[in-house]
Amino acid sequence: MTDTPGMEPTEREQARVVQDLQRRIDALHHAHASDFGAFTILDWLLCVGGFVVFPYLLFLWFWP
Amino acid sequence: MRDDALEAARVRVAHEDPESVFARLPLLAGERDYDTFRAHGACFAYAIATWCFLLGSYAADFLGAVEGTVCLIAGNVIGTFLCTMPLSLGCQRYGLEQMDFCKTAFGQRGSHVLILFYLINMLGWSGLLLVMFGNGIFNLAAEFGLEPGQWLVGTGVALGIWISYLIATRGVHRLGVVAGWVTPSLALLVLYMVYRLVSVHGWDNIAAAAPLDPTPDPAINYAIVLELGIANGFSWWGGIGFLARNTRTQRNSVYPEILQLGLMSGLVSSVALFAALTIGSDDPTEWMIPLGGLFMGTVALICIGMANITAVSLSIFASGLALRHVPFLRMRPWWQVIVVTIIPCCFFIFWAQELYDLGASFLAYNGTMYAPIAGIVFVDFFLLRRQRVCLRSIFDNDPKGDYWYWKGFNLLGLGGIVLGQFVYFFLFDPIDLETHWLFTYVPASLGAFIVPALMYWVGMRLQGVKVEPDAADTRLRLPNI
Repeated sequence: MTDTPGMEPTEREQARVVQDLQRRIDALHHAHASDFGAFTILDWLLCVGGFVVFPYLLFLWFWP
Repeated sequence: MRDDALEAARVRVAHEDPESVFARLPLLAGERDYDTFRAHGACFAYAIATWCFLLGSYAADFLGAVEGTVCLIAGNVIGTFLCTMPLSLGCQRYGLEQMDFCKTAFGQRGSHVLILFYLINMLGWSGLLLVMFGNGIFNLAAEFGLEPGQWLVGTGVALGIWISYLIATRGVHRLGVVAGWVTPSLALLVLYMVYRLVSVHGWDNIAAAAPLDPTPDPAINYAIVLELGIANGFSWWGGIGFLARNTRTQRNSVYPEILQLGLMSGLVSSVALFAALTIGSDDPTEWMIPLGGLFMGTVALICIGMANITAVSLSIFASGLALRHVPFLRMRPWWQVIVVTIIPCCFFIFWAQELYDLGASFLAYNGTMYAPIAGIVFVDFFLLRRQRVCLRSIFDNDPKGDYWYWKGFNLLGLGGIVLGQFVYFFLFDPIDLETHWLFTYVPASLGAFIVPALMYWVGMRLQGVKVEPDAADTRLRLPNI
């Protein structure tokens, strides 16, 4: 849907939203991964160790 | 649903920027608000809320202070981690809300089924908070020498619904201001509770206090509270996409969520656990006057009451936004949509205490709702798609799109949700507290996370579903915005 003369206001508004959506999709599609920061294997190790393994060991330690 | 400045921000976005279609348009990197400090702040506001009091009070039924704290913190952190990882990294990378992000696993139309779970979650929490509001009025009246009947609780619930309706239909843009000081007030209240508990009762007495209503088996009690913690971690599912898509870096989308929503929420729930054990009541509104005396207790109850009403108003407003996805309600006047969201809360007027007593079951039920979804999305994003998503197909109803599946539904994903419910109830019945012997080894939420995820992964591999996005084709054909 593109914004063309003769459209109703609601259709024109909808066309504008779709154009904006298309622009965003293109921009995000072509963005480099580094634009969004890194999450490395070290982060994964820290997360799995700190947020799964350690709490689970703590849970087992206090098992009645 | 979780109250806070975060939901207020969501409300503000939808209110001031209607073209965002309930903030559905993917956010570009330059449009995101949350650096590290603000991400922690928003998540902290999310985590510090009155439902932490409820979680801690339910835990007090089963465990003492030390074991309960271990289970609440471990459960919250594990549940939040499993729920957060795919949503945080995926929604952050593509600027998406979680409802859109989940289309990759459940299909264009199938993801709408998740709205139902979202509404059950938000309205269930609203009902519990409304009863807490009614209980607060009841206890205040009793402290001031009146002899109220239980009808006053139901009346309080009705009053809370009415105020929430007024706010949600007329004054919600001011709610952000209220939420802005409710969170610090609650944080101060929690610190005050810690101070009074330790200075008046002492840690030794807190640690020695017996659980209020345990089952005969200590291992089952321990497993149940871990389950409550994990289920509470999963119940953040509805808010994670909004947080993550507003962060600027992937680390900011992950660490603040787990540390604040998981760890901080577990810590605050533990303070509530201590209070419940020490006072000997699982009703948070009964703690404040014995802890702080008449004056400070009354101030605390008023603070809790306002926090509850703020949370319910935001919950009802957010539910209304979600209902706008339903075609029948898309063009209805806003007040009618809000009335629809309020109808389920009205049951709490007439059966306030009965439904309030089922709060622990409801909390556990969050696990049955969100654990399978989280498991399927985890496998879908990390194992099947290797963190690559076709953004165009998410916003495209073209039947040839990557996420159309069968008439817009991915039956494997939706079947996995049903399977997860069976697995959960097989391991643990949260209403009757009946457990399978496996439950002490595998928390029900984890079972409901793992089994559907495995089924989904095997099924998708066997079907040979296309998981690589088309790198060249980004042109929308039938946009669904």
